[in-house]
Amino acid sequence: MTLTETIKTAYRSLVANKLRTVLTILGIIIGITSVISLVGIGKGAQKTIEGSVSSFGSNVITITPGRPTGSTAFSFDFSAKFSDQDYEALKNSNKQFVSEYAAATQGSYKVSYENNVKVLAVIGQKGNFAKIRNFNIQKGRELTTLDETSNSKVAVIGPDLIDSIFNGQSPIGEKIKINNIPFTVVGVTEAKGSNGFVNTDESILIPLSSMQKFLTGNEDLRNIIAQAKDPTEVNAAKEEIANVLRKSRNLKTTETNDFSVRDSGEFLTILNQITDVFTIFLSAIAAISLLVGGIGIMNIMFVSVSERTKEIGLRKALGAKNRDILLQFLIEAVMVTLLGGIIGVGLGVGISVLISKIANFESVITLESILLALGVSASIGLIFGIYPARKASKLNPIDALRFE
Amino acid sequence: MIELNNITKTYKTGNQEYVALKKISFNISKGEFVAIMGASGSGKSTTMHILGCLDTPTSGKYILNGKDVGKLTDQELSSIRNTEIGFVFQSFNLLPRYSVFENVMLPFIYSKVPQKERKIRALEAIKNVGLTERMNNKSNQLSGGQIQRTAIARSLVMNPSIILADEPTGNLDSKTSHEIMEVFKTLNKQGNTIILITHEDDIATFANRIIRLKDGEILSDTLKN
Repeated sequence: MTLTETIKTAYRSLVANKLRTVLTILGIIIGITSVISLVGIGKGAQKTIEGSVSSFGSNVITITPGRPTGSTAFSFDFSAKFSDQDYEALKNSNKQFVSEYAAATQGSYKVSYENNVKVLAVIGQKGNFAKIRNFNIQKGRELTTLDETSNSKVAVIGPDLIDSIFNGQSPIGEKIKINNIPFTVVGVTEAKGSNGFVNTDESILIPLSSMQKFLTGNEDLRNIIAQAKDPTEVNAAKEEIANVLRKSRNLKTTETNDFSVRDSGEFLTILNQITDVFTIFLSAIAAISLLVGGIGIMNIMFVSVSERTKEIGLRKALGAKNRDILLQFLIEAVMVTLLGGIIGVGLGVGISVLISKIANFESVITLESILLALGVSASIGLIFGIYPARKASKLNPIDALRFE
Repeated sequence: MIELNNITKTYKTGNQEYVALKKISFNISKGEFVAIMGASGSGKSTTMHILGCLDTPTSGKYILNGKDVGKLTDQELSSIRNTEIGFVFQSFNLLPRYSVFENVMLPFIYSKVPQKERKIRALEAIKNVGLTERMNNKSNQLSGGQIQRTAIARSLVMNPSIILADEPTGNLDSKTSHEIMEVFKTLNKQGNTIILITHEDDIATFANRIIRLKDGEILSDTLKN
């Protein structure tokens, strides 16, 4: 029996049981869909994170308050704070490896302009924040030291807000209300793109002093960021920062740091750890659904073999060899799972495109992941189809013909 | 052409041994039309299975066209069934949802017959049993007699040495049964060797020779004048 004839035969029996075929491959479809979309989204998230961290600058150091708790690097004590004193101590220190410092406090606030209202991230900042974080001004001016010392109610906004708040009109000189307090827009930043978690093109920068006075009502600092003079000396810079901070916060030599100093590379590692855990977790679910799908296929193939015992007997009487019968049922199983794989790939690509549109980041679907998914689904057919197919091929033609 | 020599077949079920055939011997020559008769349990089905290479004897020799069938492997038995024997069964002869033509073509997919020749031979066999007009009907659109005619056409396409019919009229009314037997008779006159298994006397009368079995032994072997 040639392969074409075997495939034709298998195809006919699948078409004869359309509903059963569809139900059988549902498990495979779900499994492959989730694998494709999860891998696509995971890889896309990783890529955007890498992109945004590198646009962040590799020599950017972030200092967050709070003792690192737990074993993972990713733990923040959100109640811990820096004071202005810590920032001043750093800024006025003998900067050997650090070139710049900036301080920032973030919060989400209701922002309105005329009838448009949005809840947006507002960053109160002082020092060379815009320079360290690569916020470049495309229109208007940046925030100055004078804005900071005079508590000016001025704001620099992300470019996306021109459309979403100002209906496409020039925002310079307009007044927006943050928590109902009017701020004058003095500048617009250049587009930086979303980093997968926060769309920085939608954020609003205001002077830290104004943030403290009008919005938070306290003098706390959430973050201090620093820039190393030389990207190769980031570790020395981190050490320098830690030493200054320990002194400023009066830590005894026996005490551990009550703050953490991380460079962007570390953030990348942490974020990659998170996406990896996420991907592994969801892939495990996908693997389980593929396993269940495979068992379903095996079950249906057994039903099919016993239903078609007489057909097997007849074929054997007409000269079919054991190998012919084995191949016929095996190819049937592989065709079912491969069809499921193809549908799954289609759905998976669709879902990841959809999610990436909604979540506003690119999903990455590689040819390898598609080929892998198709390979996996064909293998499931082989693995779970071989046992029923062997059973079919071993049937004695006499018993098979007599079977009632 | 067919030589059965002291064929014995025993079945084991648990500790009990059941002897289905006891040292049976007979020869069948080319062009004969033989009916093998007997009540159920007489061993006629077992004889048919051995003749059809669906089963091998426990002891004794079965020589088909000079080949000792008892010594063949599963694979070789499959190709003997494909090329040397044309089967017509009592029931489940045709694949459901396949047309008359497709059913007749079925033995070819397990053979090495060239593609071009397949269609010609299938059409000829279908014509031979008078089903040309029904060629594209699905098997569920056929009457009992047409199903058996299709099965006969299928048994012919490989030009086998013997056509082995196992109760081919068992599911048919007597008028249709006789029509089918006329088809066999015509085929025999065209030179085909036919072995018919039946328990009905009026069916057996179409054959030229009747072998009667009882309890696994040959009761009589008579030639019709």
